[in-house]
Amino acid sequence: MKKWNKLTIFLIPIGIAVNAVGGQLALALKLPVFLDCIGTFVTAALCGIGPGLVVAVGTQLINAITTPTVLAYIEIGMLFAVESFFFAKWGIFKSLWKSALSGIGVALVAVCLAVPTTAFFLGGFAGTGATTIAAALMASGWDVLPATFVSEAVSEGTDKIVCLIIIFFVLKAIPDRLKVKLPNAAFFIKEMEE
Amino acid sequence: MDNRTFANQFLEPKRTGNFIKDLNPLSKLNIFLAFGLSALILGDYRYGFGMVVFLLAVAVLAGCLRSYLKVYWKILLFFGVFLFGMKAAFSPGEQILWQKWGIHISVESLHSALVLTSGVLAFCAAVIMFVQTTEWSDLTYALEQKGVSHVTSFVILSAFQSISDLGVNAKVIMESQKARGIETEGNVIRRIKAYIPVMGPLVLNAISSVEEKSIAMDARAFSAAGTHTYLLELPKVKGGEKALVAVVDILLVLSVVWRVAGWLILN
Repeated sequence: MKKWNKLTIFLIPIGIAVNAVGGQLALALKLPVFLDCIGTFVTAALCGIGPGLVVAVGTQLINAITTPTVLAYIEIGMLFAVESFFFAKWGIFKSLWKSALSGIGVALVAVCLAVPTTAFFLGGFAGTGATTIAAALMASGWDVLPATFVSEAVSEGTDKIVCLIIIFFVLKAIPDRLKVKLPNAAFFIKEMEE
Repeated sequence: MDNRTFANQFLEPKRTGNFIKDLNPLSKLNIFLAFGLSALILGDYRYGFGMVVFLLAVAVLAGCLRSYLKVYWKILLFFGVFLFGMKAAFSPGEQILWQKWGIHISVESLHSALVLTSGVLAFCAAVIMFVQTTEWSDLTYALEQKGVSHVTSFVILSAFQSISDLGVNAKVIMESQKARGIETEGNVIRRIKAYIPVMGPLVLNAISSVEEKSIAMDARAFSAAGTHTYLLELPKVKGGEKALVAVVDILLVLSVVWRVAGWLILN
């Protein structure tokens, strides 16, 4: 951890807090999406994979204080950090429609990872709104695996598309004079590319 | 409390007078994790529910029953009732007890629901119990004693602080955006539109405050090399506590062995 930029270290708690507060805000506004990984994406895009991973793990550990079952999904948040770093590297966060499209990809990978856990470990019960869809599908004769997959894909898909659109705006709005001091400045500022 | 007793309490290791709360944070982490994992590993619903009841008794002994139940009742409701219901209704089984509208409750599904629910409930109980009986600053202090960098402590403690700070900020920003005429109620699209003008300023503010914070912390010798001093000290870990941790760990290993052996015999 020593070799990390000092600003990076101070950004990690902020990233965790943004994750938590973003989720709370989505709940307060009664949105059908979670939006609880904005901090992970932003930190990983600005500072790199390592800090992003720390934010992801920290967020899940803090969520585990009230709902310990989230620990079963800890790897998904970590994957977001890796994805976000490469999205920043490939310049996907520079255009709105590319960000939104990559949201679909992010959601698909997340669903593929989450479904086995939900279906086999928790019997299709994720404890979120998606569970009602899964229960309805299972009641109409679907198997637990496809039912969980469809319900999670619907909720994750909308969540991640909205999430990545918000992240696009946030990253765009961060002033260059701050970005330039962070490790991944070259991904965002043209003049630094050469 | 006069000034002298107040000053003297910093010379003594920190104690609350409660046996469970005064265990070393790392011992507590070890013990409670072993309790929770053993319930998941053994997969026996009698053991799982027994653990839930046992941890309730621990909560009474630690004097934190009220705060414990405040967090735990949601788990009881969500996982005790809904998870149980879902698993019981949709798991496959031969001996059907009740069947309607695609719901099949059978002996097997009831059993698998009991096993899963008890394991999840016991694991959640153990984790929540640990959090309720431990102060974060004590845990990070214990970690630092084991050689973890003080930067880690800062990240952990600062994360909690930031969450409550940003929560307050979010409320303020939401109120001001409402005052500017942004609607936070109505259909879904309108509410999503309200999310962005709150989240944007919140994140930007937080990120730009990082720089000031880092300067302020460095002015207080945050990155100074050298040994650190502490205001508080935790009691030394005694032999009895070490023995307790060892016994619990041995029981956890035994439960793994028991489960693997049982699985090998079955196959």
